[in-house]
Amino acid sequence: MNASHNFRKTSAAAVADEVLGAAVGKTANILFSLRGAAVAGYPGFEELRDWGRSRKMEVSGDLGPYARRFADRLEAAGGHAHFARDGREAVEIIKAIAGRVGAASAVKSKSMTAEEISCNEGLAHAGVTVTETDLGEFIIQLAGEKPSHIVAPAIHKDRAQVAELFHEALGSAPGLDVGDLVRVARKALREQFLSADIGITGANFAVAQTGTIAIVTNEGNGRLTSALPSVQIVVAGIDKMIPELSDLPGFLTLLTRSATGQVISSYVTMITGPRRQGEEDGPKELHVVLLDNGRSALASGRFREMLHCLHCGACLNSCPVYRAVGGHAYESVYPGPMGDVLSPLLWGMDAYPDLPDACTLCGRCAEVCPMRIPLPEYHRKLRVLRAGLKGEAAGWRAQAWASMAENPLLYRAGVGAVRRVLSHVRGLPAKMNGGLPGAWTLCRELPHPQEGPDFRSWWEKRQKGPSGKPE
Amino acid sequence: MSNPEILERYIAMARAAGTDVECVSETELPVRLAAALPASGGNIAALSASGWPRGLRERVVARLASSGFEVTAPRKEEGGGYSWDIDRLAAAPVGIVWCEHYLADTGSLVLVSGPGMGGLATLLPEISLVLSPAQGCLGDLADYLQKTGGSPPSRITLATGPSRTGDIEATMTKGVHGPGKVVHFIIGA
Repeated sequence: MNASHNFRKTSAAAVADEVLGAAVGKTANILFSLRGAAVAGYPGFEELRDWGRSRKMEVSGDLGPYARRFADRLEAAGGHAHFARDGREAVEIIKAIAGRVGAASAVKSKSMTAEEISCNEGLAHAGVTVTETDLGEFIIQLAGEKPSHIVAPAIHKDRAQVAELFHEALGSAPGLDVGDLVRVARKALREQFLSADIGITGANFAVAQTGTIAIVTNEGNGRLTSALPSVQIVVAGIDKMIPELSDLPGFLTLLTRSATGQVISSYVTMITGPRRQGEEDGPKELHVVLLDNGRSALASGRFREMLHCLHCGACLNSCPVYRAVGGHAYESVYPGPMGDVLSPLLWGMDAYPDLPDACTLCGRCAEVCPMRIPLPEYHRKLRVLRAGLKGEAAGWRAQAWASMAENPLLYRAGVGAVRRVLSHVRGLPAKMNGGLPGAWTLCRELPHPQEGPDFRSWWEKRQKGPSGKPE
Repeated sequence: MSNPEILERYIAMARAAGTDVECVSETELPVRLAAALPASGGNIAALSASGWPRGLRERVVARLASSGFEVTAPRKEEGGGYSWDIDRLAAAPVGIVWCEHYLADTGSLVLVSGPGMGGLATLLPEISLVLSPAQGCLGDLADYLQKTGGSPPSRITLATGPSRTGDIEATMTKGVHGPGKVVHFIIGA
């Protein structure tokens, strides 16, 4: 990570990119609508959210024991568990496995946790070529970029850009449509699947009771990655624990309906140990790298519920800031509302000083979060925490506003005064140039109060009306 | 729910997910199966080696032969293991497996690993043909997991509809890495 990221600067550049804005806005909006329909079509979804939160509270309150139980059960099923304190340790473990089996190539099914530890770069140093097999990840790997969404990593590219990229990198005909582009990728990636020495996947869930890993994909790359290579390495944050196998159906419902609005994704694969006697596919060796990287510290603090995150991306799709700037402006593996909170917590406030500001506190992320993580509240807490770290007191304007807002009489008098002033300056344009008025009207218009009585006077009069009934 | 009710729900959910569901009698099966075979892309059919009800696999193989299809299947090795001839499997345009259970709530097939059974025949070929008994329909994943009694097989895959992606402009496209077409024959429904 760089010393300090500057979201104000990167977001300004992102807003100026019209292709980016259109592509991100379109896809985020589709995913947001699909989620809305899928949730509306599932009676009891709200209760399921409460249930999910309470199950994850049990886990986050006891993270270490759950992870150790998972590791024990995995070992009993013939797999190998590795605990990694941080990303560097995790990469060393993965490199050591690759070195021992003499691997030259790996196929990888999308994993944000592997992205978090820069797994591909680490393996490249050890001479192992990693091919991303999720279509979105494959696209951005060819483009030499980073994912810009935790579920739809190539959300910032439109079809014309992908067609051009495939034309240049894979020699396909120019100007292909989406269906043809998918076929080009299928053919190119199939060869990699059939020859790779190692398969690397993430985990959507890790079941402590049975040592089972659950992987959710639509494309089938997760299945292929865990079926063909003789060694499979799973990279999982210790926050991926769920207590029992019987918890899986509920969590899958929360995840897929929130992420893509699907009743279920095309493939849900539950892996318990390596290939068993007589079986025709699956890895002969199964390794699960359990990554801490700051997670156990979160468990004991006031941002504990971040550990409940299912990485569904619903908060990204709902966020007006994310929709306007896309993922790259955040300069973190984790963009959008969950990333605003997670990035400073995992990598330090110094590295991401202004991400807590990348939020209008509109509250949509909390509305859609399947785990009811109080994301707006966490943004606010981080701002307070940052002010404390910098030894800042609130400015005089904020203090004046606070004392006014805390006193109803004063507040009403203040609003009345502003209203009177605004009624007298009716001639002013809605947009102004320069100075404070210019800055204030840059993305909003100067309000002109309506004619007649204000709302309060109208309401009071209405309440006291002769009949006492609505007019 | 009674079996006909959950079966009806399964059929609706699976079709919504893009699976072609065909309810057939045991006598109709060979003809209907032959009609679903691909007209182009080669004449190799990948078959799982085990897990089939008595006699059915042989009848399927005979029908494939009369339609001009050669069968490739995992070979039994010394020591009891099975392995595919990967080149032939990769060249097969169609894979055919027996699947005991499927789930009404999500329209999912429950594909499990076991000796001579795995995921590749339903994954590598473009077309996936899956055969199941009418009485194999369960309500949901919880019902299936209960059956495993806390000791699940090494791989359980819920496969729901064809392989798909929305990674380019959220445009749903079928057949990325897995099959673009899935036909589920429910026998005796």
